[in-house]
Amino acid sequence: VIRRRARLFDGTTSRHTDVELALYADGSLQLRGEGVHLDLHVNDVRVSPRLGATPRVLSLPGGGRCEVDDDDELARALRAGRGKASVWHRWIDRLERHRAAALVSVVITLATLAAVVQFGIPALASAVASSLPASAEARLGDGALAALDETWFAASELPPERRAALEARFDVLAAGVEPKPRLVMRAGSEIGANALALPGGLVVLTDELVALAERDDEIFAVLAHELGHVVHHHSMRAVLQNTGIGVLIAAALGDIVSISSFAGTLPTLLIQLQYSRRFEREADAYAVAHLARSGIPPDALASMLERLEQSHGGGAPVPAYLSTHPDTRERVREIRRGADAQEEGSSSS
Amino acid sequence: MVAAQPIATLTSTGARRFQFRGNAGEFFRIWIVNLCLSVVTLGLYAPWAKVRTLRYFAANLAVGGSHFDYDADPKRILVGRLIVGAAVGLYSLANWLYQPLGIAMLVAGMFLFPAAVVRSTAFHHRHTLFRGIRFHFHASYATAFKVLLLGPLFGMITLGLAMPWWYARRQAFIVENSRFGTSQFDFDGPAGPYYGVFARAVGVWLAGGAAAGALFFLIKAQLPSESEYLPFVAAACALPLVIGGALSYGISQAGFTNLLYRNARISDLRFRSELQPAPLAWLYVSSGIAVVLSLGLLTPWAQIRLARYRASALSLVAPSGLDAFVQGSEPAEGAGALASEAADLFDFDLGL
Repeated sequence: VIRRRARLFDGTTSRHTDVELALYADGSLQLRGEGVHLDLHVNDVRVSPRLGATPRVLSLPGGGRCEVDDDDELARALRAGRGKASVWHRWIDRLERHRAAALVSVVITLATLAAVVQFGIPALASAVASSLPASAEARLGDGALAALDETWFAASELPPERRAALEARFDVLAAGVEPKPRLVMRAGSEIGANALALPGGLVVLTDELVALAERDDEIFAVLAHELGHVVHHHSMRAVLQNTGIGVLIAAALGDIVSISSFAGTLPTLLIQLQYSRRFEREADAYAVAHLARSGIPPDALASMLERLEQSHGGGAPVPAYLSTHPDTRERVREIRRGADAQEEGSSSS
Repeated sequence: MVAAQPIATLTSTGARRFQFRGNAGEFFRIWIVNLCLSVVTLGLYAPWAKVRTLRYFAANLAVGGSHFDYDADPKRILVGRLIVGAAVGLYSLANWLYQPLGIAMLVAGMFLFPAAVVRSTAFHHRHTLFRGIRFHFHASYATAFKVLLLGPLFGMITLGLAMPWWYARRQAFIVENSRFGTSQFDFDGPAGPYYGVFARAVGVWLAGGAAAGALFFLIKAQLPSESEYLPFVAAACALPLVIGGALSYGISQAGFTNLLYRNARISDLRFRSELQPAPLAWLYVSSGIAVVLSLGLLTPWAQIRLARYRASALSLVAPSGLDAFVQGSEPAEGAGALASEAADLFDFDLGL
C-alpha cells in the first residue's frame, strides 16, 4: 500500500481538506481526512498525465479534485489500473525524462528543419508554381513591372530601330519557351546595367546593359540567363518559397521565442538568400545549354558577367552567404566549364 | 497532519509571494521532445505540445501553497488552428485570383478579430484552474470592438498620444471581464500612471540616442577628418543607444505589468507587483543573445528564467484567505463537463 498526503478540493468551493491518500495493490483508493471518508477504485478517477515534477491531479467522480505531489513509486502505482488512453501520455513522459531522447530530439529536429528548408519548401513551391494558371502569374508579373516602373525605371531611350532589332532577335532566341517571354526595355536609372525576369515571362532589359555590352552576343547571353529564370518559374517560386520560409520560421519561433521575435528575421533572410543563389546557378546552367543550341558562344555570358561586376564597382566585399548571387568568379568558372562540356558533347556526336 | 502546515498559513493575513518551481534542465527535455514531435508530424502534434507547455508553467506556479493548473483539450486547439490556417489560405488564394475579394475578406477578418480574441481568451481562462476553481472570461462584441479595434485606431490618429490611455483600457477590458468562479475581477486604472511609464520609457530612449550622438561628435572632433577608424567609432558609440533602447523596453514592460496587477482586484484580494526595469531589461537582452547564439536551444532556459523572475516580483494580499471562492454554475465535472465541451465547440485557440 502507498500512502501520501494530499489536498482535496470539492470542485464547488476553493476550500481544501487535507487528506491521506492510500492506494492498495488491488487498485482500491482511500481518501481519509476531516469529514472525508471516500472509498474509490483507481479506475474510477481520471489521473492527470505525468509532467515533469508537477503535482498529479486525481479527478474524482462528482467533481472533486485531489492534488498529490508526484514521485516514481506513486506514478507506478497509479499506472496499474489505467486504460488505453494513457499509453500515449506515458510514452511522451518517458521520452521527456530521458537524457538520450533529448539528444536524439535535438538531432532529429535540426535535421528535419534542414530537410524542409533544403528540399521540402522548394519542392512545394515548385509544384504550386507549375499548377498556377498562367493568367495569375502574368497578372503578378504585370503588377511587379508597374511597381518597378513607378519607383525605378524610366522609358527606354534607345532608338526605335535598335529596339526593334533587339526584340526581333529576342523572339528567335525565346522561340518555344514557355510561358511565352516578352522583352521590355527600360532606362535603368539608379539600377544601372541589369536584366531581370518577372513572373509570367516578362524579361526587363536596361539601356545601360545594352550600352555596356561589347557585342550583341553578350546581351543575348544575359537574356538567355533570364530565360532560364522564366522557364523554371523562378520569380514565382521565389515569392512562394520566401512566403513559405517566413511562415515556417514564424510558426517555429512564434510560440517559442516571444522573447525575441527579432531573432527570426536573420535566419529568414539567410535562407532566402541561399534560395536566390540556387536559382542563379540554375539559370546559368540553362543559359549555357540554350546558347550553345542557338549558336551563341556561351563564353559571352562569362565575359558579360565580368563586365557587369566591374561596372557595379568591382565587386564590393560582400561575404558569399550575404549575397543574392553566387560569387562572380565562381559563376564564370562554372559557365566556362559548362561551355567546354557542351563543345565536347557536340563534337563527339 | 504535517501537510496542513503550508496550507494553514493561507488563512492568516499578509502578502503571499508567487513562486515558480520549474527548472531549466527538466523543461529543456520536455521542450525538445515536444518540439521534435511537432516538427516530425509537420505541426499536427503542436497543440499537444502547447498544452503540455502551458500546463508545465501553470502547475509550477504557486501562491499560498496552491498551484495553478491548465487542462485544455489539444484537439480543440488543433481545430482552431486548422480554421485559422484555412482562413489565411483562402485569403491568400482570393488575393491572388481576384484582389477585391481578398480585400473584402480582409475587412471581414478585421471585424471577426475582436470576437476571435474574446473566444480565445475565454477558452484559455476556462481551462485555467486554481484550487479546483475555473477562471472565466465574458465580454460583449461591442466592448471588444471598441477596445480592440477603435482603441488602437484612436491611438494612431492621435499620433500615439492616446496609446497609454489605450493600454489602460485594454488591461481594464481583460481584467474586468474575467471571473474566478463566480467572483468578478475589478480594475481601477486611471490613465495618469500609464502616461508616466510612457514618458519615462521615451525619455530614456531619447537620452540614449542623445548620448550616442554627443559621444560620436566628441570623438570625431579628435580624429583626422578622413580617419579609417570612423566606422568603428560609430559602432562603439551606438552602445548607449542600444542600452537606452533595452532599458526603455524594460521600463515599459515592467511599468505596464506592475500597473496591470496593482490595479486589479477580486473580492478583497489585491496584488503587488514589483518588477524592476533594469533587471528585466537585462533578462530580455541576455536571453535574446543566448537564444540566438545557441540556435534556439537555450529558449527553454530563457522562458524559465523569465517566469521565475516575474513570479518572484508578484505577491498576493488576501486579508481573509483564499477559501471563499465558489465555482458557480459550471462545476468541473459531470453535467458541467458537457457545458464546458459545448462552449469549447465555439471557443478556440488563436495562438495569441
